Amino acid sequence: MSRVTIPIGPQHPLLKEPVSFNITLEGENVVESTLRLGYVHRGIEKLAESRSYVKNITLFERVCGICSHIHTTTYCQAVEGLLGLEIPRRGSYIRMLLCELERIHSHLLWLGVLAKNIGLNTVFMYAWRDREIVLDLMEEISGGRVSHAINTLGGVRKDLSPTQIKKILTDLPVLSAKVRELLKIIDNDRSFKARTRGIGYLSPQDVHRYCVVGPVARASGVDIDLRRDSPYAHYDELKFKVITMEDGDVWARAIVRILETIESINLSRQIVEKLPDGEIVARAKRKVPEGEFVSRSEAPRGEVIYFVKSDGSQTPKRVKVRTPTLTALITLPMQLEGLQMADVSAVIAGVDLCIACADR
Amino acid sequence: MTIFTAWNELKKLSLADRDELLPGFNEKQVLLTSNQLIEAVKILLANNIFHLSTITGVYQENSLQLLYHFWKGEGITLRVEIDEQDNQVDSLTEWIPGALFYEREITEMFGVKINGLNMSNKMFLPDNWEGDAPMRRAIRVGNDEQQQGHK
Repeated sequence: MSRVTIPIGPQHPLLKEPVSFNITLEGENVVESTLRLGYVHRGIEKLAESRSYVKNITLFERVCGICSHIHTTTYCQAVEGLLGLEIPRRGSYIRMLLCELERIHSHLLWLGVLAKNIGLNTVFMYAWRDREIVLDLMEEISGGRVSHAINTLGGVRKDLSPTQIKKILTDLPVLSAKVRELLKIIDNDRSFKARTRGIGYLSPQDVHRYCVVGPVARASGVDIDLRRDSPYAHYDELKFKVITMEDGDVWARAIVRILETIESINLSRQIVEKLPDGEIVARAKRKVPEGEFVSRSEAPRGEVIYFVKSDGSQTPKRVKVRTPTLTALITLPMQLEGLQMADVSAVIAGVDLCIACADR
Repeated sequence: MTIFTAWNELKKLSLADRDELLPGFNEKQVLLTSNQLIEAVKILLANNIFHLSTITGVYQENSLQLLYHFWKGEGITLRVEIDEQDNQVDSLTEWIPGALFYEREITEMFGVKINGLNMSNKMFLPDNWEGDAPMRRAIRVGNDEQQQGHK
């Protein structure tokens, strides 16, 4: 049978960000696929070398348009590590709160994108409608819906007021009920299952071999979560379950993410209820002593790692960012092979690509 | 515990003790030459440490180091010195296929030759890029020279 190569991207309705796939078909079946990155490469790592440590917070907030807060958190952790600075407990709790709210927002956004890609517009509308609740909360706390600009070296810039705490505690149960409703839909809906079950399978061995992280790894039965395995901030003081599934397909990824959203809602409630009193920021010195520091944290998509090297001046010598999408991308050609063309959209959405993150 | 056992085994290969390296590093690390890398990775894999978080290139004062950050509950870093004349290192993709994109990024951004890596096209840089490896140049952003790579 003759082969046809279909280009998807860099600009394509299926993709939210520019990446280029070349999918070779034999009849309806995918036999080969390649991908190309670099369309949103902004040279952030190089740019960081010429800006001061504080200015870089603004820069790293812009690595990703969805999980902006976790990037600044990880960067600040690295610089605080170099400074030997311990941040006040209240500041750390507010950071964690934003991290969890961001996870809820990212997972709901992803569910909407997946639903839209497989033609389930109702779930897309529901998921994005419910996401507004958490976006409003984040706006209330930080002033920004997506770029929060709340982190600074030594803590956070804005405190939580009693009114805000009250609003968080009234809104979270509402959101929780809505997310449970979504879970019921995707768990029972026949057409959702038909489009996602058995598609894009990734075995636990492949997860290990390709160093895949986050919900994609957990949906294949690999139990990793940095919040539990090497706790940063004050995650060791909170109670939560790490969700795993054995199926390893797109459906399992959906279930894992929705259950994680419910866990994050519980975590946010715990954080607000346990919120300690006191200062929110510690004074950070302008000059960072010579040294190197590696900081890791669990973003909505998995492990984020920042490496910061300082030579004792006011600007970093080197900052390296590795985002979770980069590893998931390597497995995409493998997941697509043997599928039908119509399933490609479900698999591409299923791994939750963030191309701006992968390119930097 | 596995990290500690592996670290002790790796230290036999290492060029220097941790104390002689840069202060402030929060992970266990060993300093290696580029031809010891594969041997060191085999030791890590034998100790069940298979998660490669990333590869960082650090270029300064005409010397390049590649930092292979591994993780298993805690971090361990292989710090590989790249010889300036030789300018090459072996690919890990045979043992850790997940290293593929990290290595492609390193080879494009730092101009290191990675033996065993299939490089038919560019992955991150523009197709018509002909300048130096961008992260290797000693210039700072804001200089006019930054555009020199484009045709």
